[in-house]
Amino acid sequence: MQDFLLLMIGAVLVNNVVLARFLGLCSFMGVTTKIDSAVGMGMATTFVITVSAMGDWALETFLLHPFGLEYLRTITFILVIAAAVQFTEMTVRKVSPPLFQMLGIYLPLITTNCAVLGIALLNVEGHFGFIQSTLFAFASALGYSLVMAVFAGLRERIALADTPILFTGPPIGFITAGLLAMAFMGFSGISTN
Amino acid sequence: MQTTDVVEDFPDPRGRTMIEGFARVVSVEGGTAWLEPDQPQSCGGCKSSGMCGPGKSGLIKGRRFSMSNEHGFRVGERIVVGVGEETLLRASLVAYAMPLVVMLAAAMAAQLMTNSDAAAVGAAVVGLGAGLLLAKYGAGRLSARGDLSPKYLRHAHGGEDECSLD
Repeated sequence: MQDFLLLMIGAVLVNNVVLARFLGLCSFMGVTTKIDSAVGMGMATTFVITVSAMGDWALETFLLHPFGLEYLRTITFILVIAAAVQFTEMTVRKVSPPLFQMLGIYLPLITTNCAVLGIALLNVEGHFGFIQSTLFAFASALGYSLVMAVFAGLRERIALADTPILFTGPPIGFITAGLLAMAFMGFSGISTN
Repeated sequence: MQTTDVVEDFPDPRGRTMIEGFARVVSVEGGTAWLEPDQPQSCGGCKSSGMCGPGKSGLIKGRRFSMSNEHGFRVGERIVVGVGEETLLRASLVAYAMPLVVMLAAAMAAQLMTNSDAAAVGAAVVGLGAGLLLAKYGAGRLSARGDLSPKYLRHAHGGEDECSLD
């Protein structure tokens, strides 16, 4: 149980998918101008990352590895991710049409989020079992959502600050992202071994 | 020396308690108006807007919603609609967090009881199904309270834009 906890803390803070591994930067910069859209995007991505990591693990373990088809890994994982996004979209639409009205807009954006594929590939690299792989994906996605929410909060405030005109908008956003990444480097002092 | 209060220094930049969006009235049937949400503003600047999900007219059409026509809307009018700020968070929790937590709990329980990956996979699939059923129930309750329906705020002025912060 302690191993699971350490794996999760490591994935959320120490090896944060955005600020330590630099994955998923497009949505990190693009959807974080408003905190509510950042949170909506974060939640949807968490769901898709976890579900697709499970599918990827099953395919890798029961199909690709036993039959020596590892060279098809990337394309297979991309297919699984697209299917997971489609599944999520269909499910949310079916579960509640009004909910789909509110949340559906974020879903197609996730298909092209490199963090989803990156986490699935990291899972293979780590030779994780099913539970470890699922928890690692879930925790990495939580780390992504956490950083999205924090960064969106910062950007909402920066929008009001008196920034030099050359730095207004994305430039000050990039500088803030760099400072945030440096702050997260502090977590690498935590030993998760 | 001038002292500034942090709260005053950084008020809510939008100064509102609703998440706002733009919608166009596409038809009026008796006391009901049908509206379509505007294409997200970011789509305008993207070369692939015709190919991606939000850019497809089919998807926009699929997101059509109705509203009682007590404000006398006319076809073609552009209005500002809003939902409560907490609603998006609550809706996300119901749609995504609930199935995910049930699925993870089921998979963990199966793994700890049987120590077999295959059993954990099976339990995760069953847990996901159960979680989605729970989400359906939760969404039904949110919907019944009227939390998920957008509310009319005002008519959009010419040139009014949703990305005023950018």
